[in-house]
Amino acid sequence: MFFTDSINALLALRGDGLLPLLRVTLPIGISFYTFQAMSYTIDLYRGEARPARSLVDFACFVSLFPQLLAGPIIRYHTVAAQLDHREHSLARFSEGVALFILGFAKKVLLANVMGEVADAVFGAAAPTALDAWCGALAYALQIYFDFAAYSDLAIGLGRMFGFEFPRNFDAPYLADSITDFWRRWHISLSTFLRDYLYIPLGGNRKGPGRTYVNLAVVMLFGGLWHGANWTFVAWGAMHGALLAWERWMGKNSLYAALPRPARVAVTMILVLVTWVLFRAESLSAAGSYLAAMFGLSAPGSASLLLSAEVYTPRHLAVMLLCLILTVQPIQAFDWSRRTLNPVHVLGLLALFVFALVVMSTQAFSPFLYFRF
Amino acid sequence: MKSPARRSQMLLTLGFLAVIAGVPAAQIAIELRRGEPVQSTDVFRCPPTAENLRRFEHALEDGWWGQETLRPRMQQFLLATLGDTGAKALAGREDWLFYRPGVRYLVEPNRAERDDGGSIWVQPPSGETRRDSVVAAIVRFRDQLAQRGIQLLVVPIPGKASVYPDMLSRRAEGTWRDFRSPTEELLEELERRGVNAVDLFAVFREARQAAASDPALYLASDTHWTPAGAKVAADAVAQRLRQLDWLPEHPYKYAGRTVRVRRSGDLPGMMQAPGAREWFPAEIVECRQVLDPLHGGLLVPAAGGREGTYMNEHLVDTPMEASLLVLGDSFSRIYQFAEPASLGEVDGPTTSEPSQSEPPDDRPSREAATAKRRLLPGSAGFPSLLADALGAAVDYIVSDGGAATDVRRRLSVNPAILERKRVVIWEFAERDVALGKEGWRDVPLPSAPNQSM
Repeated sequence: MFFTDSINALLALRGDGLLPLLRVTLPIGISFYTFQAMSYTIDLYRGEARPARSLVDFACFVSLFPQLLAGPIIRYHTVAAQLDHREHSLARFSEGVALFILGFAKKVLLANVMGEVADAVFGAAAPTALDAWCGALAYALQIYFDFAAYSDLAIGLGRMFGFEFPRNFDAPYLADSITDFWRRWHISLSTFLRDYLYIPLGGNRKGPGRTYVNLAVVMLFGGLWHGANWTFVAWGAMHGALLAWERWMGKNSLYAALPRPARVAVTMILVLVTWVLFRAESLSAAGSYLAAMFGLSAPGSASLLLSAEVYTPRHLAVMLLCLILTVQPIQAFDWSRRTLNPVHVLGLLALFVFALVVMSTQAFSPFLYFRF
Repeated sequence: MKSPARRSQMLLTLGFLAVIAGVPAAQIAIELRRGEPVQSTDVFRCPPTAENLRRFEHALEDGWWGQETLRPRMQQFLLATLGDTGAKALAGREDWLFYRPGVRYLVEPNRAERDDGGSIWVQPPSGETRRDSVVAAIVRFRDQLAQRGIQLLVVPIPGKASVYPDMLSRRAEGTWRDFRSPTEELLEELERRGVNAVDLFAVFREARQAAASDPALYLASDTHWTPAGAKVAADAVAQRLRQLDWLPEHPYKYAGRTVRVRRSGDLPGMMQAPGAREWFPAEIVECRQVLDPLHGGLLVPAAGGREGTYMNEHLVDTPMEASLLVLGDSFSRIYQFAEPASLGEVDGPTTSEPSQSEPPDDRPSREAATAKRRLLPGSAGFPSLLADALGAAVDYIVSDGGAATDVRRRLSVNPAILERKRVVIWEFAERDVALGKEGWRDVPLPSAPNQSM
């Protein structure tokens, strides 16, 4: 539909006839299991894994339910052996439970609340600059805690069933460059694109010019993978451009000489700006929002009311908590593997029950990555 | 002997599984104890279509025992600790509450006519945006009435945040006079299209300025206006009708008296938190009850309509038949009826106004017969105040949240109401322009019988 609409827009400019639009209903999670099926084929072709023993094993890999809907993207060679043989133990199951509870709490207590702020500001006609930055930050926190939550749930469920899925996030907002960001954000996607697209395209082995082109192509594709919309293309293009720019500048980049906290802050600002493209419904909406962020548009009088929706004690408290959790070094993925004492256990169970009851007070709020 | 680590692992695993299994097990136990069918088996009783599954999920959610026990407690906890006022209410300053969808309407851009799901807001759609389509729908209704020789006067009611933006956000302090609601653009468009309307936004700003907000025009913890606000609106509509020379020929004098009413707001109730009503106490407001001097009763119907909808074909028991009809929503309902389910109550003895033709005390009246049952006094709402301000009987059809479509639908199935009408006054909450329960449906009016103006 996206390609047909885009081609039709071009054809319309020439006055040519339009292509028919096929309205096909796509199953949710299609982008994830398409990648998994591709991974199976490529890994076998490269000789990195042996074929599945049966159709059931193959189907189990492609439709592995814990991560079927929203990742992390599992590459076949990483779980081929586990499909054959898994070890089940109380220790592993309880590690899975711990990670599952942490993921569930992240989604209900943090991501959903930040989503309220982001929805309010992105849905406003003309927010003030302060509101627009606050909305972008809220969205950055929402998408991180939402997606990381789903990854935790998936990895946790996997552990309960004896699987060990790879880490998908590693404190991404502590990245001190965009290159570093992509080492920490949606790791299963970035490594997939690196191993199955960037390196086959030649990676950085064919000279600087080709490297920049490869980076741009990979990020454009990565953007498009998230959805058939020009906003995702622009988001990917912007990240591709930033990656190419950092590689070109090397240690001379604008912020390479800054102390690490400043580098982290600059990276965060760049990421916030790109999230606007990711979140906006259209390029024009993204342009209006960015204009508001940089004080290039006049806020409407109704935008005065936005503060009452955005800066509530609950929103501010949760935003502060999110920021603290974002910058502290302990990751749920690692913490859940430590030896838990009874205090930890009681804390986790209380957190689980609390999050369950809080969920009953919230409106339906699906995971953001369900639509990809 | 088990190691401490293993004991912790066991405790976590069993605790987790107990919670996962405990919720449905408790639900089943409660349902069996109540003698109800086990709801979770409903999923197997109908085909697994998307609609059936969604309905099943909603039914499970609504029927969950925690909805009645845990959820309100948690909402109460969130209110007490973080000031969380829930999905429907927004906390303002000085314990004022605002209806969140009403604020959303003001903050959001002019919505597209077709939403993400493809559903249409106004039927038939006539513009790119909801506001454009609503204007077209109003013009269509105006033309339908004109075929019957009836005039239309449109009265969008400002939301509380349009008049008191500074009570919602400190940012608007000192600038509330400059606040512009998107509905004011709708009014401008209506004027361009030749539709008569009343700009209550300007009227309320002026009234607020003049009265220094004492009494306030809106209730602090309610979506609706105070009796003072309703009176300002009724006077403004009456003045506009005079300007247009649309008044009946024989004015009628009503009596009135002042009643103090203790009214709890509707917004604390929407929070679904047990302690909310203590946090936001009831307000005491003074209503002017409009009385019929000849019959000695309140100007309210003997019986209401179905729940949420009140229709009165002859509001005033006078020899004349009303030539004015109000179509409206809860802004017309509030103070107008002795709402049996309302939150208000008469606060102490009423005080009679000595003016005009006060009915003698010993005269039998419907009011006397039902006074003890009344929580709110009735006959003090917008329709009665309008009748009083005009000196003319007013009929009305009122539907809570249904001013966009439901009132017209009620009118279309009761076209006899229109037989002697000369003017229809159409009141609706401004948020209905873009948000509401069913949008603006196309409702044909039956063809006009031959009648003279």
